[in-house]
Amino acid sequence: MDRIDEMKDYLTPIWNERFSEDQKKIEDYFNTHKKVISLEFKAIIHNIVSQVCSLQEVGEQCEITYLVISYLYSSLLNKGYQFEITLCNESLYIDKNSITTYWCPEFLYQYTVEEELYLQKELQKKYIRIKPYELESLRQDLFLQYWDIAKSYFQILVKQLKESAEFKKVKINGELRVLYGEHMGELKEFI
Amino acid sequence: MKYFELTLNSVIYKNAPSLINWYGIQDVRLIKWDSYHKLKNRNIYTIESSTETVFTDIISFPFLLVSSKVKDTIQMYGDKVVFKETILLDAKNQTDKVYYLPVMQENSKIKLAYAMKTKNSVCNKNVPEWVNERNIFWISEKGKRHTIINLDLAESLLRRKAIGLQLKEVHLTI
Repeated sequence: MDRIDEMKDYLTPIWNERFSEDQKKIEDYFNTHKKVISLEFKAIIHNIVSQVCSLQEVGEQCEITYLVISYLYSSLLNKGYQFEITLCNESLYIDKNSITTYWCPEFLYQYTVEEELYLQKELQKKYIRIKPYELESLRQDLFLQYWDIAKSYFQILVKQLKESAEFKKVKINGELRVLYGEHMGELKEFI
Repeated sequence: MKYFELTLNSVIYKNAPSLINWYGIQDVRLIKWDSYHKLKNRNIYTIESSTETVFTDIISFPFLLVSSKVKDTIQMYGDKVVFKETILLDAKNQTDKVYYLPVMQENSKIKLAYAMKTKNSVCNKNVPEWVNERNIFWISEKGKRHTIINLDLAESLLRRKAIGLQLKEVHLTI
């Protein structure tokens, strides 16, 4: 795997430049389409909100404490780029009545196909006979950066979500705590 | 909870170890929960000789083999899985690697359907109870054995940088 490390060292500055250019385009896209993206996100969450409300009505779920947004390595592997979004009570991971949905913020991942091709092209300038697993390993490594960027967009989307009338129907335990991080791993509160 | 069929990604990992002359070393029909005690505790297999072999963390042919990284991760979850040591040897290149043959519980009553790739999906909570109690298991359907893992285990493996995995999302019903 030494060659992959070497490739990564070579590719990282090139990737960073490309990624920051794409991020500017994504930011512009987000600002222009904020309303539509926000509506889509709300629709996704409202779907689980209605399930939570039903459970609360019949007494099968107590007050909600956490909204957990987790990035998924499995979705990075499958190029589905979905995030796991869960509403749960104070038991967090062991809440048996938590409700979960999965969502891919397509606006964020709209350049991934071109980026992959770009990485391959740049690698070919220096390396010969690039193996598919080498390219895949680099893609998975470099695309981790998307998760940092996603966090800031989720902050905006969740802020808007909390104001929605539909979301206010959920019985919340004090102030809703929003956690972001690995699935069943380290989570950080971001709002 | 999402569930995935776990196999080796042989498209990307073309240089994964390829077992040769494996037939007859061990009766593959014994690789099941009821007869794991009849399997030898250790076997040695020869692999196709190549300087470019990538020892992936999973091998799916002719039977499932996992690396010690995958074995340790599975064991953390406490599922009923028995592991038999399997040594893969490339004599020409003087390389070898220890793998483990996992034997786990199997269900032939549960139906499996491959999930469509979608932008968003809702978590299905109506999975069979037998499935709910396990993180890794086998489903046999039409004479084919499928290794199924849940999202928790898949994430744990990938977080530990396990390589060679192919995960196809599946829906499981009775």
